[in-house]
Parts: sequence; C-alpha cells; structure tokens
Amino acid sequence: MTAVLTIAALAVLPFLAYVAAVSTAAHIGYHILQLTQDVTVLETEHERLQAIASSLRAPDRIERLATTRLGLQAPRADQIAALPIAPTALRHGPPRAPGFWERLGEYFHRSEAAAAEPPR
Amino acid sequence: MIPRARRRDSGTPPGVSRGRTTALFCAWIIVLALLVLRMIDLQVVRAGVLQRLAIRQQLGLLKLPGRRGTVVDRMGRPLIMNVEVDSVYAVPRAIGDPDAFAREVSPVVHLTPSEVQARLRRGGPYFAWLVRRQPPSVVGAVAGLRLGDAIGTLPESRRAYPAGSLAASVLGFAGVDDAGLEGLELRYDGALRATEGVEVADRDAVGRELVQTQRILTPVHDGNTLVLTLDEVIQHIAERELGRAVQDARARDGMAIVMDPHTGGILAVATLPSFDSNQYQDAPPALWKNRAIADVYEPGSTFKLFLAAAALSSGVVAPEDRFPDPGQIRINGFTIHDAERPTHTSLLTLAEIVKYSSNVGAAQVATRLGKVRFQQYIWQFGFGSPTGIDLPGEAAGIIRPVTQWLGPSLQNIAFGQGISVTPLQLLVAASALGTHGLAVQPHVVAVIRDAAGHTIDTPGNVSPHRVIEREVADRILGMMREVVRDGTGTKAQLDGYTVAGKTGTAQRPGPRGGYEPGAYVSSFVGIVPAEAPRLAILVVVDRPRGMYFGGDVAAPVFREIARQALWYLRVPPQDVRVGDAGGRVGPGDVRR
Repeated sequence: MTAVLTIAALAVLPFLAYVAAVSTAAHIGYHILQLTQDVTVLETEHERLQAIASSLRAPDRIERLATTRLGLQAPRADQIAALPIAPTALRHGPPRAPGFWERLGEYFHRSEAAAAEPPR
Repeated sequence: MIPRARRRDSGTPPGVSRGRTTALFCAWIIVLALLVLRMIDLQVVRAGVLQRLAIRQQLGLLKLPGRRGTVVDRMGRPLIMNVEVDSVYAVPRAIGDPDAFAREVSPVVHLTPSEVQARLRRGGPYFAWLVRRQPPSVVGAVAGLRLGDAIGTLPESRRAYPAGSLAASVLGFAGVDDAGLEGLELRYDGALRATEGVEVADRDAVGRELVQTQRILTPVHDGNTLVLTLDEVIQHIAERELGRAVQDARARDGMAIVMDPHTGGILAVATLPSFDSNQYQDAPPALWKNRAIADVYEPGSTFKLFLAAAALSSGVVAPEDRFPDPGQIRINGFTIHDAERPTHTSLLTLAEIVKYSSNVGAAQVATRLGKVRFQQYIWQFGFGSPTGIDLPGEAAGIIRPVTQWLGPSLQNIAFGQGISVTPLQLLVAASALGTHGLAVQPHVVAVIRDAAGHTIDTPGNVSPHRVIEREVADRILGMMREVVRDGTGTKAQLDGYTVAGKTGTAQRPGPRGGYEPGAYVSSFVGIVPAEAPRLAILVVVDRPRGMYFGGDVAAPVFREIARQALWYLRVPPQDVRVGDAGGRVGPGDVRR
C-alpha cells in the first residue's frame, strides 16, 4: 500500500511542480506588465517635464525675466572683456595613459553598458 | 422457482424492476450520445468559427506605437519634442439623443453642435473622434459632464515646440496624425517618423496581457533624432535684433540669415513676422513658408560684388581701370542714377564703384562685360538654381535669358535690379568671397541619429566647390572691407573685428510692372572677421519707412547680430593675442 502511495505521489509531483511554475510565471508576468506600465507613465512624465524645462530655458523668456523682473541689462560693449589666454594654460603635456584602476573601471563600465537593456 | 430468484439476486437490487434499470441505462446512453454529438458539433462542425472566436477573445494583437523623432539644436537643446496629451472620443451607439449630446458637449470641446454631430456621423457606431490633443482644461471639463460610456478620452502623442515661435519657419510643424506639414518636419518626415510595432499576446479573463505569451511580430522603431546646425541662442539674437530693426523702421517684414561660411551650416534663420509652431492653425498660411528660401527679391547693390568678381575674373576690367561717375548716365534711352551717394567728381576704380555703390560706374562695367559673359558668372555663383538646402519649398530665383535683356537690362542687373534671387542664394554666393572663392552647401541638419544614438547620416557633409578664382575672391573681399571701413557700410563696423560687407538698397517691383514709388528693400551682407571668417550674415528689411538705405537700416542689425554672436561663440577680438597675458582687453579698448 505504501509503495503504491509513493508511486502515486511521485507521479503527481511533476504536475504539481508544473502548475507551480506556470503560476509563478503568470505572477511575474503581471508584475512585468505593471512595471512596463509604470515605465510608460514615467517616460511620459519625463517628456512632459523636459518640455516644461525647455520652455523655461527658452532664451526669450530668460531675457524677458532678466530685464523685467530682475532689472538686468545687456552689457555694453565696453563692459565685456576678452581675456588673453596665459601661456601656462596652453602648456599641456601629452595625454597621460590610463592606469590599472582606470582601465579596470572602464572594463566594468563597458560590461555594465553591454548588459543594459537595449534601446527600443 | 429457484432459478428465477437467483437471477434477481445477481442482476437488480431488491425492489427495483429490471425494466426501470434498462430505462435508466438507455437514458444515460442517450445523454452520453447527446454529449458526444455536442462535442462533435463543437470540435468538428463549428470548430473553425469557435477557434476564431476564441483567438479573438484570448489572443490580443497589440500595436506598439513608436515615438516621432526629436529635433535638437547644435548644442543638444531640444527644439521639437513629444508630449502626451488626451484626445476626446464619443461612442455614437451609446448616445441616446444625439441632438442633446451635441448641445451639451459642444461648448466644452469648443465646437458648434452641428460640428459635433458631423463628427459623430463621420465615425463608426462604436468610435468617433470629437477633438484631438486637447489641453487638460478641456479634458477635465469633458470628464465633468459625466456622460458615462458615451464619451471618453485616450492618450495620444503630440509635437511640442518648447521655444514657441523661435525658428518656426525652419522647424515647421506636424499635423494631428504626426505627419510633417512644413519646414524640417516635412523635409525629414521619413527620418522622423516612427515605425509602429505589432505584438501578439494571450489575454486573461479581465483582458490583461499575459507577458509570458508575448510574441513581437514587428519590432517598434522610434523616429530618428535630428541634430541641427541651428543654434538656439544665435537664433534668438537674430530674431531679437531683426525685430527691433523692423519695429524701428516700421517695416513690413524682415529676414536675417547667419551661416558658417566654411561649412554652410545655418546658425540662424530669422523671418518676421513669425508664428508659433504650437498654434500654427492660428497663423495665416502665408507665414508658414520660409521666406528666406522661398521668396525672391531684387538684391540691389549687393549684386555689384558679383559684377566686380565677373569683371576681374574675365579680365575685361583691371583693378586700376577708372570710370567716370557724373551721377547719372543715359543707356539705350534710359537714365540710370546713383542711389546711395552723391555725384563723384573724380574717376572711380572698380573698388571705389563697390565702395561707394556707384550705379553709374557699375553700368559702365557691365557694358564692358557683356550680357552673355555676365550671365555665365551669375550662374556660376549659383543664382538661378536652388542652393539645395535641406528645407522644402526653395525657389530658384528669376534670371531671364539674355535674349530678354532688353533696353538697359544688362546695366540694371549690374546693380541688382531686374534680377531676383533668394536671400539664401545671395548669402551663399557672398560667403564664397570670404572663403577664397569656395562656395559651400548650405544645410540645416548636421547629423541624423537613430534612437540608439548612432549617426546614420550627415546631410550637410558636402565639399565646397569653386565659383571664382582665389585671387579674385580675395580682391573682392578687400573691396568689401573698404565698404565697411569708409564706404556705404560704416554702420556695420564692429570694434575689435574687421568686417567685410556690402549694402543694398533696391526699389520694390510693383504689382503691375515697373517699381513701386517709395518702396525699398534695404539689405546688408557681410562676413566677419574678414581675416578668418566665422560668420556670414545677411539682413534684409522690407519696406522700411523713413530711412531706407541698406547702410542705415540693415547694416546696424548686422553689427548687433555679429557682435553678440561672436562673443557667444567665444571669437576673441583681433587685438587680443594668444599668449599675451599682460593685459585685459575689451572691445571698447581696441583699435577701430
């Protein structure tokens, strides 16, 4: 009798495991769906904020606020100066070769970039 | 008897007759047969129909909308982008009384009741757009009507132009279906347009997509990004300064183009009056076109530059040759006057004809040059054919065949009357004089990048071509410097920089032939710094009132645009030497 029950349990076990796996996959699928919707909402919000930021940074608006609200004026020609570049500023040596830690950092950075989600 | 009793014991329970058992068995068999028949009906007879029905209910075919590409200026500042907004739809089948519905909805969606009814009829029984891409106020008001299933909203992507009217004539606009209608939106519609994707996935009982069953049939591709040569700040400077000049001169309209003379990259195109691309429907369609490339005008004295180049290149006039300028001259029965300067007592060289903008001198040079030869040079400089800029609607200009150059036409064309060019053609031709005779391909788009950021095209990467000999171009540039130093263009002088330029004052052609009395087009084309050109700028002011000479109206605009743009581009004044750390030099301190 025990042997029969054991065989029956062993026979049923794969089906139970399959059902559990399908259930988990469905659960994860719903979670992914929710996250995808969240991403869409956030992307939309990001675009909206970008549009607002761009309109706030428009040169016309900045100039209008600067002159009307802050009382600023465009500088006169004699108020602007060109500063000659000092010779020391021009004396740059050849570019330094990256060290061990920098190369290692670059390697991991590349690995992370490669593993990232591909663009749509 | 015994066998009978034994039979009952083995077959039917006590008290149940054999007949009832048989009937029950038959009924069971009949039910089973019916079930089998039903199964055959479902699985065989109606299998196709039911399978299609099941697929429709369980399998979802989803369209994956892509995003139209964005447009940024040369520094990466967004000029065109997408924002999500709501559109309002109706479900005609769910509307009991269409008249009452139209009366209730029309004030909210800013339509008349008849328009609402027309849109309901235009749609299907279950869906009809009422208004698309509406502001939140309208969407909120629609929700406030509480009309249930009869009306609803759906999110849609809309083009946004965050800088408003800035560079509107270049950027253009896209319509409600994301199709480019004007400007760059139209010219690069194919590159900007997204490719819609398609996926199949099973749905659960409540219609949710089962991600694990998802299968992409067609991948979605977002539109490409355009990186322009345009600079938002220089564009703003050009529009502001041109706007001031148009307002001060009470002119009808104006144009200004700023270009890199070495690459042909357009840094700014200002056309006034302008419009807001976000509300393009509110502007008259006449404003939508880019008049800097689509309209032609008579260039006036700025055209003397090309006459002088042709005269020197062909060898018919030597630099030291002199021409009398008594203020007027009669040619083929017509009198030609000087427009910009009084009579000159001495004889003028070619350089002085350009410097003082002498029409009489130019007429004599043209006579010596001849019609055919002059026309060849005109073509050589690119007049009479589109420049090929990557914007829609470019005009070719009007260069009549020499057989139609009657009377004083040759002499008139010498000082830019009787010939029509686009502002861009003139700027490209003039900029070639600043780059040793090499003409560039003007362009607005520097790079096209795909959604992943990879460069897929560089439309403006075209090698310059020679339009005039290097020596001739350099000599004409020298004449242009004299125009600004001591000629008709002194108001274009810029402290710290050497400016080369030419003024133009042309009469406006009348609608019935001839010229309109008192109507002028004032212009100035210039290159700065003359030694190592960074900017080529053309300013055109149409119908100024009061002062109308190009040197008075357009040259100061050139100066202001050049001054601010050079500082913005960090082009130091010529008196600041690299390595000279001894002092601090401002434009007010350096020599004139």
